[in-house]
Amino acid sequence: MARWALISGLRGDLEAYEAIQADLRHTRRVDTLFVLGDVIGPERECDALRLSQGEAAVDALLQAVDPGHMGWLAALQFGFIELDCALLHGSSAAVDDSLGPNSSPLLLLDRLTRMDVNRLFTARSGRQFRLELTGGGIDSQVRDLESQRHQQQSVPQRQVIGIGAGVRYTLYDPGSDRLDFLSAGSKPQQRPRGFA
Amino acid sequence: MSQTLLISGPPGCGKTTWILSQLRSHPGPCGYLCLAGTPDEGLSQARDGGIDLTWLQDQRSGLQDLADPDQALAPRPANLLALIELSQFQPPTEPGLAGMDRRVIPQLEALHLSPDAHLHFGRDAVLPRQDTLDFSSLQAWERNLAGAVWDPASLSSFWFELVNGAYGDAYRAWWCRARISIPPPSRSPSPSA
Amino acid sequence: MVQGKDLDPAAIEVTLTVRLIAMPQSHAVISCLHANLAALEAVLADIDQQGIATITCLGDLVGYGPQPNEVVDLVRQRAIPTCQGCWDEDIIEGLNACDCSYPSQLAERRGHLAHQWTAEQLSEESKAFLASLPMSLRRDRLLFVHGSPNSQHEYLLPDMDAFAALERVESAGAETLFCGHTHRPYVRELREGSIRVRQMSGEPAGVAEAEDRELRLPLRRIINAGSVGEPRHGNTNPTYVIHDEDIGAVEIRELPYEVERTCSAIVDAGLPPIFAWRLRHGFEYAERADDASHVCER
Repeated sequence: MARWALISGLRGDLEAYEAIQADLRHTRRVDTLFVLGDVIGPERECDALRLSQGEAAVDALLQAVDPGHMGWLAALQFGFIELDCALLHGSSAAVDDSLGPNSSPLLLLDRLTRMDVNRLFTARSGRQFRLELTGGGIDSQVRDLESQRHQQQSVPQRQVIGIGAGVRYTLYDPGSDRLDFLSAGSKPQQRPRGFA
Repeated sequence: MSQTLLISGPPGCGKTTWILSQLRSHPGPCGYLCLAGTPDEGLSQARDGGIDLTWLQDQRSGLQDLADPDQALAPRPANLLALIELSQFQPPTEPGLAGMDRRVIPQLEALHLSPDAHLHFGRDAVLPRQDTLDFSSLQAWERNLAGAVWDPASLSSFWFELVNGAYGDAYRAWWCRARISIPPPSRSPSPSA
Repeated sequence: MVQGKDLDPAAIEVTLTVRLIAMPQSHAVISCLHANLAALEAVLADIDQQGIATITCLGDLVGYGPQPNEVVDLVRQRAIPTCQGCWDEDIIEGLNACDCSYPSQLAERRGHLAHQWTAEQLSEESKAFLASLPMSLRRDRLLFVHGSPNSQHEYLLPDMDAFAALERVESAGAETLFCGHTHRPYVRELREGSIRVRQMSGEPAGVAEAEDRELRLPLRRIINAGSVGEPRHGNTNPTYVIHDEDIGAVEIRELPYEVERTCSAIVDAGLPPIFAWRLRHGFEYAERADDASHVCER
């Protein structure tokens, strides 16, 4: 059975990465590791960085990264689509779209719809959470030159999952839909924080 | 016993369609030839471009190309049905074989073909009743798209415009596939060239 | 109330002015003019005939059609508040829309050809005007955009996902969203929406607690004005909408115009004759991309 490890927000912290690797080697059976961005610094999209932290932050980031790595970083994909899951740093709207547990459900549903996926894994907020759309609907009435149509649409059973950042990472089993929020270096929980 | 028929009639009267029905009902070997026809005064002939042969070969397996000079000298099978198509605006002035356009005879002789009978649409009752448009002039327009990058969606748009008369009244239109995998428009002849 | 015996001309004037402002106001919304002067003139005459003074234009003044300067001049002359459409933007900025906006290479080539022709024809004054147009216009809770609040290139099709449609209106802080770009007019009402979610947090460390909550969604409307210059609704008639703010009524107007005048102008201008044929038969110049939710990353 496939199991994914999802990490993000290392921001150049090699120790955190090694701690996760050690964690995965010793205790978890994982066959794919996905890194959802922020390997090197606050963001790939420097405009967002410039706006939030100023020009000095951009310069500091550029100083910190080996120029030889720039091409590789620039070539990174926007995200991955695996099975019915989207694995992204931000969201389907933008790389710096920060989705968290308190984001509007309407916004979350829109982000899921844009990519037509059932699970959207996001890292931007740095939070670990699982938001499951459990029900609801909407009435839509359209009138044009030909006709008037009425339509009732239900909320699809979809989820947005925040995978955490740094040493806090997530394991996901797409077969069973089981999710585990973990923290590298900490002792295994008596009762794992997992959801099936 | 083999039989060779010359079928003539104005463009669009249904020659190729009738020929296909004969080819399909004949159990033995079949051959086909489309003659270029001769320009009559005031009436321009549309070029065939080999499209009818290609289409018929697609529809009737094993159809022999009678224009193939290598085949012309080979002995013909005993029960061969050889059908020769000729585009001809004016009705023949004499009945039967005597009414055959003399100008096509050299072409037939070169291919060792000698019609047993001549049937003309509108004259011979064995053919379907003529139901043709009144053409005074025909233009054939052909464009080779080899090398031009045309995606299926573009072809579809262009086809839509063509058959709806955007480039003039279109009586017949084909598109041929050639080394690209695009689905042909539904219900139109689609020879694999 | 002013009594007759105390009549003061200044007082009457003030009273009348207040009264006029408070009168129920209908306003007209037009979109996608596409350099079709005959169609624009017909629509403006129809609006005038109904005594409607407020007109808003949702952009795409130019593109494909043969009279870009004339259409820009008429919009300026009538002082019609206008937001910028994708064509207006591209003419100023250079081709900005990604190839995915076109469903075929043929459509793309035609689009580029029309773009080049229009860019050559437009006067510097017209270009400056198009460059000055805002992305959106807002009047209270009414928002006017060309495509969607996200982008001039995004299509809000009448049957797109209802939640995604509502999100566009809601995220923009509007109650009623006026848009164009699809060239097919419609009125869409989204009501009685709700979304239930179960939230499970992995933080803080410990046992995760599930928490259920429900979001009640407000009533929102999307009104698409269709197209004046390049209708895509099945015939050649331009469309636009009249909205009554007080009672919320929306009328989709459709009217004939001298389509042959524009077709002749297309041919005379040296634009491809196929543009005239398509316009005359009620087909759009170039088909639109099918994916409404497509987000251009350029």
